[in-house]
Amino acid sequence: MNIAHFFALAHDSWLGQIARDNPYMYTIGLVIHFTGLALLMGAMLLIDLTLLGFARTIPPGAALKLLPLAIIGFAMNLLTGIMFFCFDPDRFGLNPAFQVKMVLVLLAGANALWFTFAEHREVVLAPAGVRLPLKVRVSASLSLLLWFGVIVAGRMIVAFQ
Amino acid sequence: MELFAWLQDLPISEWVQTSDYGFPLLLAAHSIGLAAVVGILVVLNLRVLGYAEGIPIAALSRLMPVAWVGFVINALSGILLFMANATRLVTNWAFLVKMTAVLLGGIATWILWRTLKQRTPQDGAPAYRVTPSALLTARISLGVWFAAILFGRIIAYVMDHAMLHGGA
Repeated sequence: MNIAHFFALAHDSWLGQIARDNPYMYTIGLVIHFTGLALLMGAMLLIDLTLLGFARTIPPGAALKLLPLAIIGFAMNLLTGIMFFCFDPDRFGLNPAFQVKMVLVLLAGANALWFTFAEHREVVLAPAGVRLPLKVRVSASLSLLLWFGVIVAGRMIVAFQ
Repeated sequence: MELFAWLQDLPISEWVQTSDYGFPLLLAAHSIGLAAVVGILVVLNLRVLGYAEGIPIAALSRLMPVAWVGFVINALSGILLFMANATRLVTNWAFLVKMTAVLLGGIATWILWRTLKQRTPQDGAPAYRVTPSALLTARISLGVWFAAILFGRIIAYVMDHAMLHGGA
């Protein structure tokens, strides 16, 4: 299956059809996408700033209790994002800003997975105010940079149309 | 109305209107600010409502500067976005509702902190306590910030609609 075939499949999918047939679907999707952005970024800001040592009185384990909020926000954005893509796969798939955004999402996801499997178990037990290992702080910095990069790349999509 | 026409004709407004990257860059800044200000406030309000109770409210008060940075980014980018379309936005109902929501969101946040903060003991740090009125304020605050996002998204559709029908 080549890319053109994949784009055609996405375009003709049930999701693509309801997005094009219902004039309010895309707008509702965007409202959900920006609400998801606020949930994901609010949780990530608090978690990453805590891991970086900016909120010394928050125990890392308490900050990481916000992960479900981040996952809910991400799920909202993934589902609505798939709908936008299916609405017009050529418009998004061939857009360099969209391509950069997807690479950044994958990198941010890989960073989050690495943290979850390699560090999460120990970090949740760390007391508040303790300087966490360098690799954890690097991961938290990357997380903030990548997610903010996702926002910027997403907003640049219209500039390349 | 002349004031808004004058604002819209300023060189910086014209740059935003005509350059390839003016609007996207301002909207990118506006979204970063949204992430910081609404993101932190959503976490604060959810914490007040009992989610992630291990996070001390006093620690969230120290993250308020992050929300303030987001607010300033959005005020500045918002002013430039407004100037570029001043004459049309000033009569755009979605824009006016959004501005009201942002104002109410600010007031709700101010009330929330006043309600949370117990009278400071003579010595020592301020203490915070979740009261029933804090719970109510947190619920209202969440609704109002969601409304700000919702009506912010609708602004563009109201503008396009006005243009399609020969409006300003």
